[in-house]
Amino acid sequence: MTVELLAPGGNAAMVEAVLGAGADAVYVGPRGYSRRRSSFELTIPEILDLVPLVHGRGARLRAAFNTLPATAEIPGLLAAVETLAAGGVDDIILTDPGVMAAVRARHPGLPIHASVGCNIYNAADLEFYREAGVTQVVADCRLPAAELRSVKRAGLGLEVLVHATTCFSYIGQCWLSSYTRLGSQSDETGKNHYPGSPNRGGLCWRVCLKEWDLEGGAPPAAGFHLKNDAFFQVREIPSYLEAGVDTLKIQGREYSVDLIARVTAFYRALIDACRAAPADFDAPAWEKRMADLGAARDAERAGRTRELIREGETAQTA
Amino acid sequence: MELWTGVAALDDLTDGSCGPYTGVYLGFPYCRPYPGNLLEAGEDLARAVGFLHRRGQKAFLATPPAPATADLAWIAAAVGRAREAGIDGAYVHNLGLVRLLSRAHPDLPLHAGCFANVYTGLTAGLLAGHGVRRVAPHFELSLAEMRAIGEGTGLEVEVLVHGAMPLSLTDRCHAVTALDQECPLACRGERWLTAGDLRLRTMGQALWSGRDVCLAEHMARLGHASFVFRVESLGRDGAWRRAVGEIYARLLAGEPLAPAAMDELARLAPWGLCNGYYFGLSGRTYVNGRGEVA
Repeated sequence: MTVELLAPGGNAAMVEAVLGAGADAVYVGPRGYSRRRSSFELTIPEILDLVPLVHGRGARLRAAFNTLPATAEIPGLLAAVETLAAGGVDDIILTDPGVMAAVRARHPGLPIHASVGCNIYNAADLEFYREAGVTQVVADCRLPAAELRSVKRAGLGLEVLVHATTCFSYIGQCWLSSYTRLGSQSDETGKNHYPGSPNRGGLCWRVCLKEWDLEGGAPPAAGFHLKNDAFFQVREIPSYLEAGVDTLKIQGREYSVDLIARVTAFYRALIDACRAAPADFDAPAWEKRMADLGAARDAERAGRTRELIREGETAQTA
Repeated sequence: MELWTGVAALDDLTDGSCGPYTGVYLGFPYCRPYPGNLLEAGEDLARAVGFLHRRGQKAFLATPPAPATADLAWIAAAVGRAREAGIDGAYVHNLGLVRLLSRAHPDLPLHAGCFANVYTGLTAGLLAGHGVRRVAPHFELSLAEMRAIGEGTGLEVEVLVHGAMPLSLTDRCHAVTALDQECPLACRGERWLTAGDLRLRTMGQALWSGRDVCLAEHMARLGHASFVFRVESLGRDGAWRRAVGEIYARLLAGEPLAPAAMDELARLAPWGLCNGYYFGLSGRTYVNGRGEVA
């Protein structure tokens, strides 16, 4: 019953903090390729600098290329993967199936994880992605237990998000943000960050989190929100361990270092307790322990959402 | 130059509104219980295929974008029935379903839909290996990127030239979720989500742009060997489908865009026009024929 606890590395300080808090692996986002603002991503040299630190703690370093590149950006992406693989990065996360197949052909031994943005809904999807070169699947938050079990039956690694946000849409199947505002901002490597398009590399303006009215027909509805909740999973953890889940992933590169370190430490303790005495697992007690983490997370998230909505509204035709 | 559209039910077809189109995608992929959904209505589907074939038009079956494992069997059965009815191919968003159908029906032409998330020539090429002959590149791509995919793969490339554009996909109907009640048949009426000046239409599992994509002012310069064109008419009435189709059919025949035709397209789009993605801008921006942001 071994499971990998994977924590975010939004910057070098966060990488060091989550390793100290008990993470078995850390994922980082190469700048421009990882669905976050560039301030929560790292350059290729910065990632390579982290390899000795991560490996020195007996952990794994994973690079998330979890955006969908432009065709013209593929040579740069493949070169970045080449550099990272040669420099000791252990695994990569990809979304584009064509890129997966290209990476598999160039690096047959490099584990490829299918991002949650791949939108793997069913057993046939698993076969498609396995043929494309995937070794592990990051499960969509909405996947029911039966679909999770089919991942294991397919012989693929299974990764489950234990702290994340469930967008109102399937992740990777929403471009509402770039519909309202899309920028073009290339860095010195030539990578366009596409501000406003998380699928292509930029940040999301979180348009969905505005207050919405429903018009037409009857009765009308006013002032509701599209369902978009951040969550912690606690009582589900024992069943994940029992089901052979390979990785429990904490999302949150954009949160504060202190908060993510505390979240990592919480899950480290929870997993270790489950392993040591599964029959004694007391879900309400653990949920009580994480309540203050939830409040801190919600406060940080609400502030960032207000900023993003405001920023997205400043020049909507840009 | 081909012009395609989609209809949900038999009544949407037999009103003659699909006359201007080369081919029609049959069925409403975004809500299985949609009344008369050709995706499952066997007899109606056979009538629809016969109706189109008698007019020299192609008929493809449109399949759901996010099927669970439990859905694969009934979708495969629906495609099997559609083949018996003489369908010409299938429109498929889900990559697993692409693989499954390409093995079950190796001679069945497949078109990959917008929710297949085709952003790169590499992925388009991968899909070609699974029997896909046409791809709808993701809406966020520019026309230049779409051309490159066509040139790099030899595949046909679907370009949405007019109509509402899907903006998101989820596992629920927003109209039902927001009202917390049984299905209000939002797909048959017009229900809108609004926030400030942003307006989205809710139809089934997808949210759609309130503004209609429009490339009418650019059609004369749009010609590319790989391009085929689509008018999205799900949720619109027959008069809309026919009027828009006739305008684009004339443009594809080489006629210039008449001012009256542009006025008509604007009249048929009460919440405005957009096409920004095609020019590297936000999706709801509109670029006119002079290249100006209107």
